[in-house]
Amino acid sequence: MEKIDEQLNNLSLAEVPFGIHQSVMRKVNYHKIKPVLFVSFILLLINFLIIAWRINAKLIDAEFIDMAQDFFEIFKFNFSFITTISGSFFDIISPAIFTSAILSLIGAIYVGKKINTYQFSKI
Amino acid sequence: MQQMESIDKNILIRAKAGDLEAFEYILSFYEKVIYNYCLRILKNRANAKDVTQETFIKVYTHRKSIDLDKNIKTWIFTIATNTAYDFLRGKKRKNEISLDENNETISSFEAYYPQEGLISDVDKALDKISPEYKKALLLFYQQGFEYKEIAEILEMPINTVKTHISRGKDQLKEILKEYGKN
Repeated sequence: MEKIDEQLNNLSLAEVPFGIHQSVMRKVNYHKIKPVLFVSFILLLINFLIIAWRINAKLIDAEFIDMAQDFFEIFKFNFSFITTISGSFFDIISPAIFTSAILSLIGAIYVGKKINTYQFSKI
Repeated sequence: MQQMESIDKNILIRAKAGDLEAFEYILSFYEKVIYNYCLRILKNRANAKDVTQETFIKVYTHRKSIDLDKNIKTWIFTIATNTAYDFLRGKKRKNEISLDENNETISSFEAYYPQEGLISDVDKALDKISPEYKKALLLFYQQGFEYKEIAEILEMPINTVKTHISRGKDQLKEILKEYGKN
């Protein structure tokens, strides 16, 4: 019986498979920054909605249907439609909204990079 | 019985507050024993890996429940035991345990251990006794828990724990006798 006790005290231990530690830390990290991601996503969504609303409001003011018809007429002969749209981008969208959208995007990319480049430091 | 290691109280306080470095320390400290415990219960590496990961994620999400006056190892093992039970229940419900998986599990069990030549008869016999007895024996001998702590982990009275350990050892003796004959 004593021999069994001794053997039970010295049972074999398997090595921990590679990846458990990293996987747990990655999931825990994600859990921690989930609120930040949520806020970033909401900001992007709000920006998108504001830009869409602004474009819609501006184009309606400019009698969108007539303008589109005119544009399509011209489009048959040249690419002025594209030039006009790109040239008047900042006339339609306020630079402040555009800047805030870019900043939100940079924020989201930064958070994403943080997840990927987490260093597993030791105490 | 193996000696009980413990984690510094400051680290527990930091982990409770959500400090990731402190949590990582706890993870490093217990991942091997938890993985081996899960491996013995589930007898399948992939499942043991999943349950170990889930256990530590639960430890993090329920970190506010860390009792600084109690042994955190008991708490982590309680979570691991419940997670393993839930996993087995889920498998049973989904009827996912295939014949292939069972065959793989039994035939390759020795391959889980790097020191293959050093696997004792007790190691092998342990996987043939009742799962309830095996858990009690593992917690008592391999992890060095006291009866009271095992009772807490397995959610059963102390006397039942003592009975399980005693009967588990009896079963082990019987199996070892069989090995002796062969």
